[in-house]
Amino acid sequence: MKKILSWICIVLGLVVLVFGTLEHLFKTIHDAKNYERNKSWWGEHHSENGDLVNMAYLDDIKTFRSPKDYDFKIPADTGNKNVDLYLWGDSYFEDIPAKALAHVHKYSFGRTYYEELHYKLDKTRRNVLIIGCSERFFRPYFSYQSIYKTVSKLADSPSVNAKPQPTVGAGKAAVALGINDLFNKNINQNLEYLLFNYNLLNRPRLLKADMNYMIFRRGSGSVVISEDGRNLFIKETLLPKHGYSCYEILADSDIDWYVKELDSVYEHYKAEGFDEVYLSVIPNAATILQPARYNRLLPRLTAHPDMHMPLIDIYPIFKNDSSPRRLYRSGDTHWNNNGMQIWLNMVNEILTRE
Amino acid sequence: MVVTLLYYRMPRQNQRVWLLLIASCYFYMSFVPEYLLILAGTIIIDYIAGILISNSEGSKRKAWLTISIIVNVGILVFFKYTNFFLDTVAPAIKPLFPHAHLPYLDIVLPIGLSFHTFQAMSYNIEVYRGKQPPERNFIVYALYVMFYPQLVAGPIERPQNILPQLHDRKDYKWDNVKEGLARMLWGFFKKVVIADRLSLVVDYTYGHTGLSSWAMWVGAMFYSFQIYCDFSGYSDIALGAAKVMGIKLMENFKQPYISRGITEFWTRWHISLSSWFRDYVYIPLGGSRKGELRRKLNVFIVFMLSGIWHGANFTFIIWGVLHGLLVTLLPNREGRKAVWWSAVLFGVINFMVVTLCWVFFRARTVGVAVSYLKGMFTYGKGVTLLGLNDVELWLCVLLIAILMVREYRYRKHLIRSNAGFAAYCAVMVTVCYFLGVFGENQFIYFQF
Repeated sequence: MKKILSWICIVLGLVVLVFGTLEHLFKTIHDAKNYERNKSWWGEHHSENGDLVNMAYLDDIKTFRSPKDYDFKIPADTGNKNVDLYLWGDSYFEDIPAKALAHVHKYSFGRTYYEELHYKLDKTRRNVLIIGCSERFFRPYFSYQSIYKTVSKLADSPSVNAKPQPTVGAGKAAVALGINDLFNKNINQNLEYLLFNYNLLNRPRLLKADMNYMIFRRGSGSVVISEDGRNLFIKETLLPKHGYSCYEILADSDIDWYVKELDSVYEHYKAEGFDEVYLSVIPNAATILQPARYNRLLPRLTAHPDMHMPLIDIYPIFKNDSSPRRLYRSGDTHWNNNGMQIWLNMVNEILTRE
Repeated sequence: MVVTLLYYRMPRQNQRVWLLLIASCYFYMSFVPEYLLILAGTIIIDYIAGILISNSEGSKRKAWLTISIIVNVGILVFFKYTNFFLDTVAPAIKPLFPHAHLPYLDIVLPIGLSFHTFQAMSYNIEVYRGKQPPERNFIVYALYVMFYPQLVAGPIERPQNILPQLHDRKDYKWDNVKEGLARMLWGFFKKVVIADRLSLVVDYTYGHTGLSSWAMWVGAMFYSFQIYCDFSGYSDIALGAAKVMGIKLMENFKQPYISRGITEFWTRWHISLSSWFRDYVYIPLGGSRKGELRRKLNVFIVFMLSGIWHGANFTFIIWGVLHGLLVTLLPNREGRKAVWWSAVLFGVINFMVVTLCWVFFRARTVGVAVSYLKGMFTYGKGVTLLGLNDVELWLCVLLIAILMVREYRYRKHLIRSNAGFAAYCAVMVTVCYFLGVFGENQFIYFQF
């Protein structure tokens, strides 16, 4: 009996290891467990109350429950639809539909890190490019990524001319496995997901999160509770030394570097034929709600004498709001409908400008 | 778990050795796969050198040992200290060669390099000294260097302890499994419940300015326990994982914070490293045989090397130098009988001294360490914020008390009764799960 049990454990352990190692096998399981399709006991944990609530398993705490509340209305003055709008942005912008934007004839959206945005400019229209970014991703993106590769002219895009990939059989695929496929960098996260991320196991996790919150007033893992206890923040935005942090001290030379980088981006897309190119950085929740140690990245960019790229500058409006808490979802990294409407109004004002 | 179960399913010892070696390679390659080639290269060289040393006499014998040491130290120096050297040298030569451009090498330190390099050197030195016959079985020798429980953060083993164990087939013993698992759970407890919780305070105090001296003292003292629980927790896990397979590794810690002096502290802290330096550096330098002044100089050299071993940063070098000075200048109370109040008094004083030295070890730069120390001794300014609420701070204190009592009074890990063992496992797993702080905190010593 012991022998059979030990062999069962060995085989199960090896199966989990193989699925955690080989990315395509892991993806198969991941897709099957996806919360949108799989609500059963073996589906993955998901909370509708906010991404941070989801990460920290704080579903039970009412204060942080903040489901998505976006409400998109058609702008009053839709006018002459003469704008081709290209929006390159992250998750803050991905829900915005074309109908919420005034005067837009054609709307193209590209999701930072996940999609490419290709343009073929119609010279008879007003071509507007908005480079949107949450403050958290601003420094990492402009420090390490090249926007020119992902936001490019349609003809230049490698995917258009790329030859279709030949279908590879399972046998050949196995032979083609490289050493890096066998030593997956995400192995720890993958194994944790395969071993523990099941709805069946939610209760102890929720219990632990509740205990941490009620006794220690602390979030779990990478989620931090705000000083006033009313919001959740993602930890990396508060760390004194982290590229995502709004508390990391930045030298003036750092700001100079970003301004130079942004100006060259601006010049590039203007030269490509865009009529207008804008940058819009959405402040982190901690920037607005817990500003005591803020590194003032956004106002320093705005005030920089060499900054030529026009901004859709939402920071001063958020900062001067009489009740800024109303702009962000309490248990999520994103803004709520109020915050987004302010941004939409600013964008629509630009788009309706003749 | 898979490896351990398979280990006991293998009928022959050579199959087990192969299994452990494959598992160790997989474990090592999961960090940076290509670096296995470097490790394999040094293993081959040291294996051949061991045989050649044993088969040679006189100067040839010494030459083979020298080659082996040069290869090991060369690799260690290249990966660990090249950029440090370039960073240090570049500003110095700038005025002489204003247009010289010293490159910064984009290299990642192979994990556990300092540990397995020292273990490999230990083998060839012992063979040279005639205290260890050369290992003829290449697979066994490779496993000696790569045995996965202690590959990345020690203990730095000696061939006399491990090699015979790798040749003997270990019968399955339930007591070994129980003792190993209990020790692993204790190690996990120290890491995730104590060390990673204390790190919340330590990271807060080292990451903020304007804190009161009290807050900075708490942060510094908590770091002393954090690094102990982190490192000795890893050692417990390593010793436990090996014990489950019937292999006994050397002890690495012996309640260091009850020491009454710095010399005693170093007989209880990171024992495998301090004994390595004693046997292979201090004694060859003359030890205490050449007079008191020379003894002190030898001790000082050893501690400076120990600081350099820890990392390519002046903070580690200063930490080593401070310990060297303290060991040479302060009296050794080890072995002397003491009344309880004297033991407590000197224990507390020693803990404070060690804590002050740890500031250099924890800080990113010498400047940060100095300003942290200044902050500790500047009274009446700043706010007392520690990043945790009062309940959790008191929990930290309670956990430290539990740690001290458990390790001082109840050192054994073997629980004979099965019911007692089951209850212990249930309690420890529950406590580790509910009180564990699971984040992205690597073991501190993985970086070395």
